[in-house]
Amino acid sequence: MRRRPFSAACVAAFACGLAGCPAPAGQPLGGAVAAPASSAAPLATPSEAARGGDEGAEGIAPLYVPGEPFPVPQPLPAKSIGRLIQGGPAPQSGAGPIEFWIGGKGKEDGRFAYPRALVTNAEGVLFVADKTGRIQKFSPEGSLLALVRTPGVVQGKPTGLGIDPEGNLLVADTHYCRVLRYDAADLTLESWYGAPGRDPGRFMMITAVQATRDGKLHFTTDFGDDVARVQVFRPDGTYVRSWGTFGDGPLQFKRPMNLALDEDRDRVYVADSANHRVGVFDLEGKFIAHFGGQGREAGQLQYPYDVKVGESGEVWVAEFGNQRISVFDPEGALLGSWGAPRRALGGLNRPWAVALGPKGRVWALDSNGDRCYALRQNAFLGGSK
Amino acid sequence: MKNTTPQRKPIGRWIAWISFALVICVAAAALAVPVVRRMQDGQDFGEAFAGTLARMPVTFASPEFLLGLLLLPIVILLGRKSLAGLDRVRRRMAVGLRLALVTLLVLALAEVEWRDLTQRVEVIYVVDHSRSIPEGKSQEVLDLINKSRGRMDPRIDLGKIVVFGREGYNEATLRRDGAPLTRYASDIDRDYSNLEEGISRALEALEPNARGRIVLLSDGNQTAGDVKNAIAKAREAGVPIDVVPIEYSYNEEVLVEKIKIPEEAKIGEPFLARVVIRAAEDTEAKVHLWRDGALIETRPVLLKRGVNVEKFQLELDEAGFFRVEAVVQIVGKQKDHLFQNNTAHGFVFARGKAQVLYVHDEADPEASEAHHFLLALKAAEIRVKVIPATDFPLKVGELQGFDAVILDDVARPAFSDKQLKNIETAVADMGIGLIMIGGARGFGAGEWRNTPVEKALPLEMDIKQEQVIPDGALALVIHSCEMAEGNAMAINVCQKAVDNLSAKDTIGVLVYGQKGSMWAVKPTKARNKRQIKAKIRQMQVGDMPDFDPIFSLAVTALEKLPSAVKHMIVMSDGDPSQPRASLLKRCRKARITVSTICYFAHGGAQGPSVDLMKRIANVTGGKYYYLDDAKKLPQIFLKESKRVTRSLIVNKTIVPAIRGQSPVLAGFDGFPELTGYVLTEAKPRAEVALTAPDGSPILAHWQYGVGKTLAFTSDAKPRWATEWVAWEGFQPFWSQAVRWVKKDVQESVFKVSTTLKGDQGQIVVDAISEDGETVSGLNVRAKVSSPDPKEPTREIQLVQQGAGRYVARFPVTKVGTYSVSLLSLDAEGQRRHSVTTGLVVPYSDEFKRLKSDRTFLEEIAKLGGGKIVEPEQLATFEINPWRREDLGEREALEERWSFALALALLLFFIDVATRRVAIDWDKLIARAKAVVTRKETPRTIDRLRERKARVQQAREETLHKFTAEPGVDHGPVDVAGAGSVGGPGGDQGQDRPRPKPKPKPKPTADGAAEGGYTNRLLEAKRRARRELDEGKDRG
Repeated sequence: MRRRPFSAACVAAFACGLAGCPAPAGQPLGGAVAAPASSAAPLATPSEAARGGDEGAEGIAPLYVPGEPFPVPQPLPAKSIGRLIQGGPAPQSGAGPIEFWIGGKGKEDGRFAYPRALVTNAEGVLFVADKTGRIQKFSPEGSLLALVRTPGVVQGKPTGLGIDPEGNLLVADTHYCRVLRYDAADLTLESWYGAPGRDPGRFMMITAVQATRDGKLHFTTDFGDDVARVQVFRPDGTYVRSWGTFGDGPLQFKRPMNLALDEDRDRVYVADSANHRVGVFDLEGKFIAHFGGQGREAGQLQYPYDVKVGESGEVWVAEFGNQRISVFDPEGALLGSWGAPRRALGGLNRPWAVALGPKGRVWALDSNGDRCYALRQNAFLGGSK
Repeated sequence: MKNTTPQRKPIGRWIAWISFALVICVAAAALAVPVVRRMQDGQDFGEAFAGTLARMPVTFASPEFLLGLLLLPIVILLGRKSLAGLDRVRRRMAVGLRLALVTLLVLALAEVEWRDLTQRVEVIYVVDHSRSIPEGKSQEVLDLINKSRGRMDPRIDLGKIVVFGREGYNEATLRRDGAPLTRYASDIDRDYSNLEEGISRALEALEPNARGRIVLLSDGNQTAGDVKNAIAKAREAGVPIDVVPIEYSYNEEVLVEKIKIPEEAKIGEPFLARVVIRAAEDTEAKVHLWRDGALIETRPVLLKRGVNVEKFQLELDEAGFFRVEAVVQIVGKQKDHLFQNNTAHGFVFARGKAQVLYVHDEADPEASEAHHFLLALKAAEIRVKVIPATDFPLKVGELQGFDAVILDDVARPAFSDKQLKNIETAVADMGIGLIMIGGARGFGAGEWRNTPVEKALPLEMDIKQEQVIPDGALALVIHSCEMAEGNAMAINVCQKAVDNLSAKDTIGVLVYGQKGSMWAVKPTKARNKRQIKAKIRQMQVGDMPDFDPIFSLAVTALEKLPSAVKHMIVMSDGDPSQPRASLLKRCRKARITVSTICYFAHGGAQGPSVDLMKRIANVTGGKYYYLDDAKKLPQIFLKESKRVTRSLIVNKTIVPAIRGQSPVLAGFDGFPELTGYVLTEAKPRAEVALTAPDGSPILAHWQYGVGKTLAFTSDAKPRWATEWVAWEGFQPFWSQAVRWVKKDVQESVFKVSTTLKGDQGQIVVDAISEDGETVSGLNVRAKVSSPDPKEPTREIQLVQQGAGRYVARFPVTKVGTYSVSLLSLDAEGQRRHSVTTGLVVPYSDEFKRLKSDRTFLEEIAKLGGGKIVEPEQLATFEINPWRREDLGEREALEERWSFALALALLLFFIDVATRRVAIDWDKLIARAKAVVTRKETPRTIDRLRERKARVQQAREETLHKFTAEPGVDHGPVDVAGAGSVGGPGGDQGQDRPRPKPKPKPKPTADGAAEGGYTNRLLEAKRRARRELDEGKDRG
């Protein structure tokens, strides 16, 4: 060995590579987990399945109707991996300030198949939901920590993610018309609520769920047929209130895709995609303003699919139609945007979501490109294209 | 070291040169003599030379390399220099070796071959494997062959087997120690015995450098070919033919010789079929009579030895061509060896009365209303056979019995492509008439577009002209699909939808693409379908967020179009946001129907996503589909796109107007009204008899090929022809139409004969007109169908050979009855004659021979120059097929170049050895002598001492020569080589490291003797010099 430093180096590197995958510190990862550890809900037997007219989760799990103590299902095993993820260094010049990206097209762990929703928790851990029904959990550096598949994927896959103050993951299970709640640590399913229906208190195609800081309320958006609204529930599924109808008036929406809460300013921002605008309301549902308007110019929007609020109250919007990420100040003035509608690496092709992490991290979801870029906030100042 | 040089004998050189010259002369003589002889025979020098070379025992395969011999002088020249260091003997040897080496190399390159008469013998067994030979005998023959291998000389003898039936194949190579052959692998037609083929194949298989013999094992029943041709070839090649007869005779055998049946019969009149059966002994048997695959009668019979004739009475109840078979089956203990000869074939043809085939659509709810039409035909005494479309005949031959085919309100999908083609062929070639009557399923509305039937009809199903004729518009909205192959499927069905539209219809496709909501294919007429389909293939189908802008685009475009039917098909999973209500209202107003196809993987047939899709369809009057099985998508799409093409049906009350003079309308001057018809366009040469007020044809007809076709675009039922059905002219009109269209073919007075010539059938037609004159210049065509339904019908043109005689031939491969239907047209194509007849191909003669033909075999052996070898003689090796007698001579060329090369290598080593290795001959000889005389070989040291003694002696003698008289003082002189000057003397050299010479006897005298020794030397030297000087003075 003394005489062959090169070989020694190779062997050493290989050994390190094998052993040195960053194992998450201290987290119990692994297969079937028995009963959920911390759950506030009483362990009650599930009620009977479909109640008159409720379809949806056929044979998968019983539905919950508001007003009943909701059942606690058998938690689903979460798959967790501690491997290095796909991804690489930023592409060369001209593509913007991409630090790195994660994903890549595929159904394997760490890859995405048409990802549609993003959310970060307080530590900056990122959750990505894609069209295989998987929700993958990434560290702020981009390594895959865990993944889980929603219980029902046959009718459709979730398109909305949220975080509650305890750090649990909330999933808007779009085609099953319900909200799922996962324990973020090991991605075990803890509870859910929701049933399909037109009436307030039920969901059409639910596209978003966000929790208030005190954890007492969940704000959701749903739409379908001639319904489009924002609904508010309690975490146990009790219906509180709702507002919105289909249309382009002040209290109207067309395909609301996500919402963001800015409790400091008592605001709810709703990505009103088919109206090409962001609706601004207060937490009670009173209309404040719209900003956006259909178009490709700076400050205009086309099919805004996601809206997130930053630390200083700025509003980040992912535009599906214009294929860019724009950031506005609380009054609706454009602060900057970024995005190049290209399929190649560095381009942003039909982005469905944007998310914010600590230390100025911005995650931009390139849905058609099956990847998620990690950007720096300061890239947006200056208003590049 | 030897210092005696051998005595050079100059004579040796002379000997070498003389022998060399001798060799040249001998070679020249050997070459010259045959050349001269040939020249004496009359050939010129060139021919003679070539001929002689050709007969040399040594030949060269690549003689051009012989030019290498020109290098020989160069070798000698080179040798002079490089071998200069050697002594003459060695040099000569070296040069000689080199020359030999080069020569051998050249010979090897030129591929020297040695010609010699070969001693190899090849025996080819030609085995008859036809079916006339019983199986047991065949096996015996094989065993015999296997056994006979024992007589082969494994080093040089060869053996092969050639198997023949109708053709001959090389079956196997025989090896003495190889595995015995158990069965024949060659796939031959065993229904014939073609001895000529067998022997020809054997001759081809003979090795050229072996002496050949053919051994024929056969029963002598030749049923194909003529063996005498092959025997002649064998004689020429010097190959004798031995014959091993395979003898047998069937004692118990029953065969049907033939069936005698009249070729034509009338319907309803009985006729006789005679079956001729030959039996070897009295037997009980059953005779079955089959007609076209159906058993008519089974009769038990008692057969007598010899010829038996059984008579059957038959009667035909319908027209057509019928194949009749008679099969005899032995009942009882006797065995019937060959079954192939138990069937005889025959045919009978019956002409019928005029008959018409009426085809209706089974699924037609108004089928019962067709009875109006059928009654009309019946009243006109036209015989009608009514079948649903599903029972339509599959073969064109089955249509032959009809004079016309009527398709009444039947849609195309009920028929296979082949059936449609048959209809067209029946009209064009057989003169059968065709009538298509419309209804909602006729013509373009019944998807008859682009079919062979459309070709036969006088109307076009597709409306191409730019007139104010309503057309359809279709807009497709495609949303990207959750399913993996969904997009590909969507693109596929869009293309099929384009195909389904007519050139007048408009098509457009909307997607959410690169630029958002957009037309992937802008609304355009479906004329250049290929281009439109190409655009569809290239479109990028994206995830549509919102129906609103898409619908906006679609509705705006469709509103503007003047099309009669406007339709949209939306394919989506229901996620996009709904279009605003006003758009859907506009759809209703513009009568745009929207059908929605909702696709999920499965499940979820209710739920919010589908609500929207359902609603859109309901509001606009379209249809909603929930797609759970991807395979149903094309069906749905086709159904939906047909909504557009339904525009071909016009539901209007019209009174058909008469256009022009038509024989079909003779006697009619007015027609009642019709309440509907299918839009069509008349073809340029069509005769349009009735039209609608807008100009589209109602009744049109024309001649297509040999037949006629008629098209009626309204219907003959109370749906559209309510008034017609009640009209008194309904029946005469239709019967006139049917009669006009009927096949109009006369019975022929031609004489037709069909015969079997070898493996070909021959048709001879003698065309004689009614007045007994021969008719020339006719166009006579025949359609020949094989008894095997899998074989396609063959169409043959007969060629006129002589006045009124038309002949054609066709290959015949199967046993049975071939049907031949002839049609003749005169120069204008006017008069038509048709005849149907058949050709019976009986089983091969192979199956008629019931015993072997020894006489024939003896003749073959005699002609072939061999002998008859009984099987036992072969088995006991009494006669050895590999014997050397009677065989022709064969020369073989055997290569010798490898030998030349090996020799060259050897010489090369010797060459090197001679130059580098020095052989001490003396020692060798001494050794040899010692060995021979058993003397002890003197040891080396002894030899050395001996040598030293000799040397010393020699030196002393020399010294003595020069010794001076004692007492003369000569003074110190340096005597070369006598040791150091002035020194003590030569014997001081004792302390030098040299083989010491024997110490000389010490001088007893004192130094004076020594001084005297030196003085003596000096004196000797002086004396010598003096002698020299004296010599010089003298000389």
